[in-house]
Amino acid sequence: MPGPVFLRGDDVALHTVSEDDYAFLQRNWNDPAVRPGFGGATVMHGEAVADHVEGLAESDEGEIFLVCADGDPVGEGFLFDLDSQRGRVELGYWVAPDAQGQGYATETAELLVEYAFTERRLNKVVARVLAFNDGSRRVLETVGFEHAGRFREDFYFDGEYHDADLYDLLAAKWDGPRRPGDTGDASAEGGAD
Amino acid sequence: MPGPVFLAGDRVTLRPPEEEDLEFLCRNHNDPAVRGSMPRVHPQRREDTRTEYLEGSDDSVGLLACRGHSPEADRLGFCALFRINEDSGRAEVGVWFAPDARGQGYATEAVKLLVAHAFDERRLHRLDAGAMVSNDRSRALLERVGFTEEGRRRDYYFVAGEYVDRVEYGLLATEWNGD
Repeated sequence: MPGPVFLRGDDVALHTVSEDDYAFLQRNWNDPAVRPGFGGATVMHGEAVADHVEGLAESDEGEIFLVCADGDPVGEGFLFDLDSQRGRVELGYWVAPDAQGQGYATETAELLVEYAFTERRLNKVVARVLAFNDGSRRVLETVGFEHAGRFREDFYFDGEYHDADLYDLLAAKWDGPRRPGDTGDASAEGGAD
Repeated sequence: MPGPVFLAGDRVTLRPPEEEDLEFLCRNHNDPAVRGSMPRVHPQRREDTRTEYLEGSDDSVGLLACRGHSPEADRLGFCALFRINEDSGRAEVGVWFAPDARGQGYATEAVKLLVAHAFDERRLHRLDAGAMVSNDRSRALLERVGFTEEGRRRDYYFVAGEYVDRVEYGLLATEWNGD
């Protein structure tokens, strides 16, 4: 079962990752329907799962959370490449295929952005989206990220190079999570289409 | 010969402490005229000075203060940011200078360099400092740099056979004018 709740939203809660969750993470990280969304092309064996989780959880340069809905794991939200001196961090997330389309990724991104700005005193959150990943792009735009540029041929997947779109959000532009009734496509999801 | 310059003022440079600085650091750390105002009351062996001053840590920045910019610059003292808390954006400032390096404004310049580094390069928001109520030299230095007296901890230190209050000082990034 997942670790305790660390950040709580309306539909999802972000839990610390326990060893019991490794099987869920490993299944999705290896899933051909999930990993293209973040450009994952390496086989994740059991040891690599532990290394990845512990690497983020135990370092000063990131955090990793299990995204749960009604107590069940539905995805992962994480912060990485955190640089306190510059006040910036990069955001990542994915939602398992059978849980997509319910706004979980959007709420996860909002919770992590709010955490980065209001608890960790960071100034900027950046994100990188594979150019074909319209679901993930909608998540970022709904949360309030702005398109900042494009890295050409930044990933290699499905026999060819893919550009990555760069997004950023500054603390000064952040007005807190959307409230009910705000406009925005809350059904957008990360992961591959 | 002291290490490379990390921060440079008109007359003072701050440099990462090196093995060759160990003798200076250890001698002064044990000197009653230096340690009395920190205060430190335990003898420190060379090995412990190496651990404290040379090995560094994630939550502190310690720099050797030297006179001038040349590779053969004289060593003057030591200053540090410690208990750096990135989440709240604060750190404490500490400084000591060798007895023969005092009274010429070097320590003030060194602390100003350190403060500028904390606010302008480290993105900190607040600096804490403390001084024994009887330590007029340190208190005057902190006030010259721009620190505000914020309070007093009663009987905080035991020095020379009696308890002494500690005066708490603070300086906010928004108050720092950088000169």
